[in-house]
Amino acid sequence: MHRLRPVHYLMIAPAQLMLAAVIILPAASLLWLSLERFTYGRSPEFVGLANYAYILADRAFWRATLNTFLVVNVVVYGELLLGLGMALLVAGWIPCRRLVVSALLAPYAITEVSAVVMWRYMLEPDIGMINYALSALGLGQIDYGGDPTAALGVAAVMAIWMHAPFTFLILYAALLTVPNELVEAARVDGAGAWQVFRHVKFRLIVPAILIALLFRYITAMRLFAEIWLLTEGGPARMTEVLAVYLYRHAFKYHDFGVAAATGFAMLVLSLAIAMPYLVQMYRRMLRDAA
Amino acid sequence: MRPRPAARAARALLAALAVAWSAFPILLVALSSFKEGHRIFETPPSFVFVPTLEHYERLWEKWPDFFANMANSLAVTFGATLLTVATATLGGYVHARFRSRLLTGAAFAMIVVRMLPPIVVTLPLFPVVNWLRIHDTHLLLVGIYATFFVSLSTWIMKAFIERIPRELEEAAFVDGAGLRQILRRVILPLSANGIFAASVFVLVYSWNEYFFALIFTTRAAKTAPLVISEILSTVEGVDWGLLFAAATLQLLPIVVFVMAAQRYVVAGLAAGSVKG
Amino acid sequence: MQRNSLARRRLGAAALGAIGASAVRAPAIAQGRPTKLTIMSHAVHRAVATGAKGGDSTAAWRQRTGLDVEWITFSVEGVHERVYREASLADGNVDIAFLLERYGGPHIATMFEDLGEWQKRDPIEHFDEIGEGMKAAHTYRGRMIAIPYRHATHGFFFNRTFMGERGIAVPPRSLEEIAELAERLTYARGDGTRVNGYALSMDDPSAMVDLVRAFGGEFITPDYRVVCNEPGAVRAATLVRDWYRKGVLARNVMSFKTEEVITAMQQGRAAMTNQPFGRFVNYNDPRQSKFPGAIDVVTLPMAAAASGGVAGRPAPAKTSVWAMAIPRNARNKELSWALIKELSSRESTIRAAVNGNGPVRASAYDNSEVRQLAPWSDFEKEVLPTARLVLPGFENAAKAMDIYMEELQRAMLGQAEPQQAMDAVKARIEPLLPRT
Repeated sequence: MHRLRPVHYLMIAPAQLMLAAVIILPAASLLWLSLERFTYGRSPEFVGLANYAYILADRAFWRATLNTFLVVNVVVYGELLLGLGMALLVAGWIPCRRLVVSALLAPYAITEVSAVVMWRYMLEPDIGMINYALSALGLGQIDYGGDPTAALGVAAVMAIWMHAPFTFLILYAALLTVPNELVEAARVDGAGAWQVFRHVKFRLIVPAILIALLFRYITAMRLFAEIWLLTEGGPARMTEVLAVYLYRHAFKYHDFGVAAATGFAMLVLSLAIAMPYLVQMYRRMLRDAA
Repeated sequence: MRPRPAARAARALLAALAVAWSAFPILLVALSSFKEGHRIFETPPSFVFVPTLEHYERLWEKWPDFFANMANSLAVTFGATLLTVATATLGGYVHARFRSRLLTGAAFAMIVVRMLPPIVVTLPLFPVVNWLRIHDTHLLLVGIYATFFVSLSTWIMKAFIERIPRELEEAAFVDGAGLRQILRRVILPLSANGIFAASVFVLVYSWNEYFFALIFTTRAAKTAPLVISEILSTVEGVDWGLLFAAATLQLLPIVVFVMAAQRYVVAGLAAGSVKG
Repeated sequence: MQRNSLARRRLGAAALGAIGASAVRAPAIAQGRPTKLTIMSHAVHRAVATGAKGGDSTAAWRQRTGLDVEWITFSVEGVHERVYREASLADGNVDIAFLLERYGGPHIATMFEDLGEWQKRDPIEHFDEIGEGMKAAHTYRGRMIAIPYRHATHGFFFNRTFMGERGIAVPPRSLEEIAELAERLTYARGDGTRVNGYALSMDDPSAMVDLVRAFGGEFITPDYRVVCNEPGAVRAATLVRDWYRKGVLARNVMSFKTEEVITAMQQGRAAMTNQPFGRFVNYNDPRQSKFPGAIDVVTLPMAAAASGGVAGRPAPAKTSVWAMAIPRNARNKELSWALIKELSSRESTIRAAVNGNGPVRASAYDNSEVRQLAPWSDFEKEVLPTARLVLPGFENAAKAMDIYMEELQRAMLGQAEPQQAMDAVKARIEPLLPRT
């Protein structure tokens, strides 16, 4: 019973088949699609790298890339800090622990559409709660409709609000496994709270942090609804991220070849960002397997 | 070890802030769904008001399909969770109990493949979905959602199954149990926590998913988040009260679920833990 | 234990069976007669086709056939996105689609039925009453793919209450006057609420093009010349840029679609706007508007400098034509055509006009009920002959419109001078025009 038998391969097959059918094969065909020009009512024609030439020459594409880069990083590291903060807080003493943890996890259960509803309600110009308070204090308003930076900021805040609980969960679980003896030993040696954290806890939860970062990079790149439902990429297409650029070219301009090229670019970008983590992960997995 | 009073006060304050940050927007919308329409945007906002059910009544009147769409969400969520957990348990067992280059490769492939942004696969999937005539079906959404969570779930199940002592399986084997019975009688009951943890993520995702529902459904399999986005853009101007009512109904079951499940998930993740 | 697991297995199988059953969509036709028709449109079509004031144009048909009508509505852009996606499928869910001419194009036309053929076989009554220009807007390479149902022609709306509060007695008679009034009407009312002088939808050029034409300019001529960088059009862009800087336009105006403009007028956050005449109904509906009876409409006047000395001369109003199409992959085309005929009848046209629709039959304007219950119809009739589409139809029209709005918004944000921005528009759109 300690040898891999055919039935075991059958057991891992469903997962692999699903991934192949829904993700791998389509992603591979994306490359082929991106070399064609096609739209409704016309059969596809091969155009080589014309679509890539188009997007590389398009100012809007580069702005979308820049926006994606900025927003993804703000979101991922914002979530990391917030999630870590929450995890450290909850791992120590707090009143009504169960209630607090439940509340902290609640945003994870909200769909991005409802999150847009909530934050738009609070940020409606002049009469939304937050903007009303800000303008009453003389601090101006958060103008997500007219100020691209504000709009991207609001989208980032929404994403952080929704997904920090995930990071919090992973880091909290990891903190719970830090053996008490190590912490005690450090304390006995005279280490203060910060040093305990830096030298003991942090070291031990680095693998968890890496996992969290990895998963969040993956999902942050797909940021779409937060921007689309807030500004549709405006004003002047300045808040577009790559997902919105792709959607616009596919379903507004019906230019599926360009959309496919954008998709392929996003694919390459995702892999590039994940590469260092992936390499680390692969090495670790090989080590564990040995 | 209880910290000093000053530290306690500081921690309590931070906890309160964290709770406010997390819960305020949700409570705001839920409470405002009971506020009279013209008071929703009153300035300064007040939290004391006479509740009314008018928005829920209008929701029932003007968007009767909303409830059918919630049922779609339920069906798709149930299906995706079932499929994910089933495949993840089978795969997780093999990855937990055996080591081989092939398995490492397969596991790594599962992780790499998850790097890809979902939007990227919609374009190539569209003609296939069309050709198979599964556009606007529950099955399609179930398949897509399950696929996007099979990696995470398999990894969770692997971690949990690894903790089950091999001796139990060996004993069952010696007693004459085949693989199927070992799975059913030994692995399944003992990894219940893992199954639960694994299912929470895909459950929440499926209930809340917007993008694939937007692209791949029209009417029959339309899910609740899609309807909420439609209410968000109506020609009579946004009917905020109605919107809040719809959003509240959609989030209520899942928020309650997450809050109730948190104990198991945290314990589960901690125990099955994160060695990497 | 054995019995338990057997029961559990049965339960599991039953659950899977239930999911399986709900998962595979049984085509309606396989089960016999369809029970309903699905219409995909903008919310305004449902409103005018089934409104209470004029009556429900689908009621009689529904009773006769025993079928239900399901309306699925989206924003202007949204409905086209969804309709085209649905129309490209092997099997369709949509029986009737409402299309706007500026979102169409020859490449789209292939996905819809040639209704000219249907008209020959089973004609709509008095078909020649429907404007030729409107039919042409939905005809591509000889195929008429949709039957006109609504024209949305722009008028100029203003809030009399606000004008009264600012001491303005008479509606403006030139665009220059409008520009002046817009600044005066940007103020804080007695109760502290702020009013913006003007509201403009900015998701596509349909509102902007009115201002361009009122200054004597044009965006793209019917023979596909891009002229938005000529003086009249640039003056319009400059006006909008100045308005934005002075706060006449709301700070978030660049995300305004037609829905946001409607809300702004109804809630009293804006004083003036240019929108389809039929919106008069929405603006004066006491259930939705805070100023019922106070919002009035006239024709949009030209700029004095461009009106050739005729004071108050109406500008060429923007018009759009919504039309009903049958996707090629629809499953109940006979029924779709039957309902289209019903909605195109003289009676239905009158009912819809009373509900605020722009009727496609000229005869509707002579109907006494319409003239009484739709008081704007005289103005509408006046501008209809000189009304123009937003832009001539071509495959890259959507991109061209986006480019125009993008550059306009850059000018508003101060990233380019209006002349520069309009030059950029011309340079970027020219390669996209159809090669004639």
